[in-house]
Amino acid sequence: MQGTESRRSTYSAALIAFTLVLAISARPAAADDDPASIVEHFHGALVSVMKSGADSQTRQATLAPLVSATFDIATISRIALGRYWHQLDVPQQQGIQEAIGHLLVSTYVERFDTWSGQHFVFDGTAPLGPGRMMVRTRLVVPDGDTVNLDYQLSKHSGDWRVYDIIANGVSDLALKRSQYTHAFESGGYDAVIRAINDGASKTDY
Amino acid sequence: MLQSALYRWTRFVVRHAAAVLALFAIVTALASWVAVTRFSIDSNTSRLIRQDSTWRKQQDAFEAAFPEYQNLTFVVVSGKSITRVDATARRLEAALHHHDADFADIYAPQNSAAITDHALLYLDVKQLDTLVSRLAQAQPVLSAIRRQPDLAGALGVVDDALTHSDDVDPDGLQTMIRTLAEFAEDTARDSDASLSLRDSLVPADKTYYNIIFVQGRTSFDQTLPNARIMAAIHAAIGDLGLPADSKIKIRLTGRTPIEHGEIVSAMNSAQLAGSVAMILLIIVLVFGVRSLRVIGAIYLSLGVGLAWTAALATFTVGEFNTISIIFLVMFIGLGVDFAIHLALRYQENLVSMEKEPAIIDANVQMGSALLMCGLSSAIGFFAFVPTAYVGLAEMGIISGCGMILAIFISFTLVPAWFTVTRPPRPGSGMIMAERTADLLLVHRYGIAITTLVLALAAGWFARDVRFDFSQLALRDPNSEAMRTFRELQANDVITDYAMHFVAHNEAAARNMKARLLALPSVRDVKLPGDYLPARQTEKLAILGDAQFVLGDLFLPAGSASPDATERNDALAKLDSAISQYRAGGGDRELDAALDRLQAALSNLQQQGKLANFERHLTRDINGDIDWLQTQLTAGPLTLTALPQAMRDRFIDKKGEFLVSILPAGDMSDPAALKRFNRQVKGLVPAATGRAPMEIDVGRIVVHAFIQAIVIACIGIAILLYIALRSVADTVAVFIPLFLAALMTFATSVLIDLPLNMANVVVIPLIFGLGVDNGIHVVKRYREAVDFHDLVTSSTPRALLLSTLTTLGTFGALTLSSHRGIHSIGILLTCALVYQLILTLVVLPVLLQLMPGRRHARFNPGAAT
Repeated sequence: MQGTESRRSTYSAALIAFTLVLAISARPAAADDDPASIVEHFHGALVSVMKSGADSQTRQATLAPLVSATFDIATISRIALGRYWHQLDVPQQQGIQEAIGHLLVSTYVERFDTWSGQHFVFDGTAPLGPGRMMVRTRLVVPDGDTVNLDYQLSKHSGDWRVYDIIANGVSDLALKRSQYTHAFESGGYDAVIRAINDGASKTDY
Repeated sequence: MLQSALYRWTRFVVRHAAAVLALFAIVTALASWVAVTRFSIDSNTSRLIRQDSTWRKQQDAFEAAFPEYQNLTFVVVSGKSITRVDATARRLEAALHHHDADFADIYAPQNSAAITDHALLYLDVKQLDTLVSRLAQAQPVLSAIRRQPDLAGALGVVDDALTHSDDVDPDGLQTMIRTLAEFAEDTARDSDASLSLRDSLVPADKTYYNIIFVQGRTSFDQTLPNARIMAAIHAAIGDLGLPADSKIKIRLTGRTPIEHGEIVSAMNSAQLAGSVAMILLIIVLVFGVRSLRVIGAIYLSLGVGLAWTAALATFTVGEFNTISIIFLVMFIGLGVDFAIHLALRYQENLVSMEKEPAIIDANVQMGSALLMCGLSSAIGFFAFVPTAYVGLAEMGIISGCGMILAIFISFTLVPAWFTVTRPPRPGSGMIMAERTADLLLVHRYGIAITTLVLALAAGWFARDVRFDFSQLALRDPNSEAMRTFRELQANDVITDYAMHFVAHNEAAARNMKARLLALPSVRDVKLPGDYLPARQTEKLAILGDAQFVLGDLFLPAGSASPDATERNDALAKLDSAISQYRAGGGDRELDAALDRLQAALSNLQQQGKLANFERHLTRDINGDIDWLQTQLTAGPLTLTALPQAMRDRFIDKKGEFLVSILPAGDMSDPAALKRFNRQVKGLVPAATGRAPMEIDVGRIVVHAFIQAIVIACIGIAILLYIALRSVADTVAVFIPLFLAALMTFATSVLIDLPLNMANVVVIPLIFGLGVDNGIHVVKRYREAVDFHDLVTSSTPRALLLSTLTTLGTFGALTLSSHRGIHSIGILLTCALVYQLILTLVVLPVLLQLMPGRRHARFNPGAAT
């Protein structure tokens, strides 16, 4: 997914015009009981933040609660670590969840900084299995290049949360899993934290 | 009385020689016809031992509860590729069903949906987790082909990855490119190549086995009871049309093929040894006799004897078994002895007599000695008859009768033959015989002392003699069935030495499992539930996570555009993506993989096989994805979910549970085997299996063997005393035999060839066969005027010749692939050599040294 995100960051420089349109169409509150609304709301907020032109601190303050309300960070962390997850104690598990949460927020903060005409298109939903759903979207950019973004959501105690985004066919969760399990094999918990933070700092350009 | 009876008989034969020969011709023709038409071999090893032991009853009870385990053929499909092995096994199962007229049951557990749908649960937790990680790596390419199942979809993901190579997992990318390249190369070579995701996901360093269990309809009226089953299985395998160099191997093992192989091996061994023995016989006779007419007499009595014995065997015991078959070979060596002695004596008589008196005198003079030899050999064989070792008892009957027939034939056919043929050149004793006699006399004390020292040394080694009661020790270890069997055992696929019992219910089974596990000689105890995958909750959680990682794979496949233009475009795009990537620096290892992929793809393009590649790639990947979806969503595997055929193998009709107990330690060590058996039996007296069977069978065989030796010794001693009328002579004849037996035991220890179920026959035979030479020596010693007469008469020459022919025969047995027959050959050859040397060298010296009755005087003057 990072491959496509880097692509997205280049497009993001030109985003502006659609911010308002999307901000208006976006529903104000997260009273979302279906996966499509969750994704739609998230996209709306992203576009608003881009258009607002606010500084990174403000963007962070806006996006952090949104990311934690949208993403199932516990599931992402557990699956990304594979069997090593169970070798960690509770504080370590929390440490990884925090680091991954931070990675997500900083990715969006850094990449969705300015608006240059990008807009999201909703392409429908598909059931993945019991309690899991896919929401297909596209990020369309003015120069014609398009990124397919397929959100995968699962239902936990009544709430739908995103656990993976497949960008042009590449699963972010699958990528995280192979990166973080490799990291754990080479240097245990500390190496995993380092790998996550590297990912977060990589977005800072 | 004996001599006058023999005189009258021989005179009668000589007078009616033509009629006698004609009668023999008719009877022999009839016997040959009977032998050829009714000949059969029974290889059911469980019938080699009289079956009334406790073990047999417990085994019968077990077999009644679980008949599914009896007389199986394991059809073992194996290879490195799980997909191909399973696919082949599936086709094989279907092919076997086409031939099921010959099969009672075809059981392919690994092909059943219950097992295949839960295959991943049979991986251990770590393997499973690694598999999910590898799937995560492969996700982009799988996902791409799922969305767009054509070449453009597959190569598009490579283009993307190369464009964003900084953000792509390098290992995953390289694996992806290499896999595609390899498959493209395979497709260029073999238009039917297939790509298997499963094989690259599951660690394939070990051979994978898929075993189909076939139970044949056994028809015991066939010459080879299992031959038809084997032929039907081979026909089914042939139906698959696997190429000879296929990486998938299909082999047969299990009880039926092993027993079938044993019969084939025993028959081949008997044929080979028989042919070799015949050739050796010719060589010995040509050099030893140098008279075509004498050789003719000997061969004639041999042929007639073989036909009569084989025919009589079908009347007395019905079938040969794998041990008694070898008597037909041994007869070549043993049966000619009488004829050799008679013929040589006739030749010797011709020096001073007319033809007819020479013939009659040969019979009369040799009569009592030959009769005793024949009877003592027969006693040696008949000694097995009362024992519980049915296999040897039957051989005893066949061989004992054979010896008696051989005596009759020799006394009748040989005189009749010589009556109608011209007399051969008169013969004499051995060249060098006189010098030998001198040497023996001069060194008689030295010989006696050397013998004593040898006896002590042999006794010292013989203390360690071992008995290997394994039936597997008899079989050809290099046969396919035995090799496969050992391979499966080494890989823990089958556990041959497990003990089993039937518990009344699950609670009783669990309770006993806990107690059995406390025993030091028990490695594991398996209840029906233990054959289900372990730690299922944990594994199901991992599979659940995998659904999260791979969710988008299981959406319906997208649309594809498999046409030539698209394919060429996809290749062009890939080329430009690669050039761009290289322009940006590249990576050495990845470059090599890319070169390979480009070369392989353009090769396919030139050969016009790109469409084929595309079709197989998408077909195989989609097949794997479907398989994966089944695996990930199959849920837990429970006993009730197992197919009936499988549950029947664990839980019988009365709801009783099969419990298997696996041994700790090396079961080829008899002490460990006995400890395991003792400890388990202490808790579960009804437990059965190979350990109690081997111990029980071993006990019966050792007992039978001691019984046979005692019977043989007593019978032969009585016979000797009647014939020799001297305790001292009887003892003298026995001394070389005991020494030979002792030295044979010592040899068994020194060459590490333990006594086994087949070669124990050797020890009683030493007495039965070896006593012949002793009798001849003592008889002649008494007849002889002095020592030189004995040594220089035709007797030593006849002894040497008859022993050489016997030796040739037994030596031929060592060429057998059948281990039992082979080991008999080795030990018998050794025993016979010892016995020959001891009788020819030590016995004359002993007789000379013995106090009391001295018939031959030591007369040094005669030597000069």
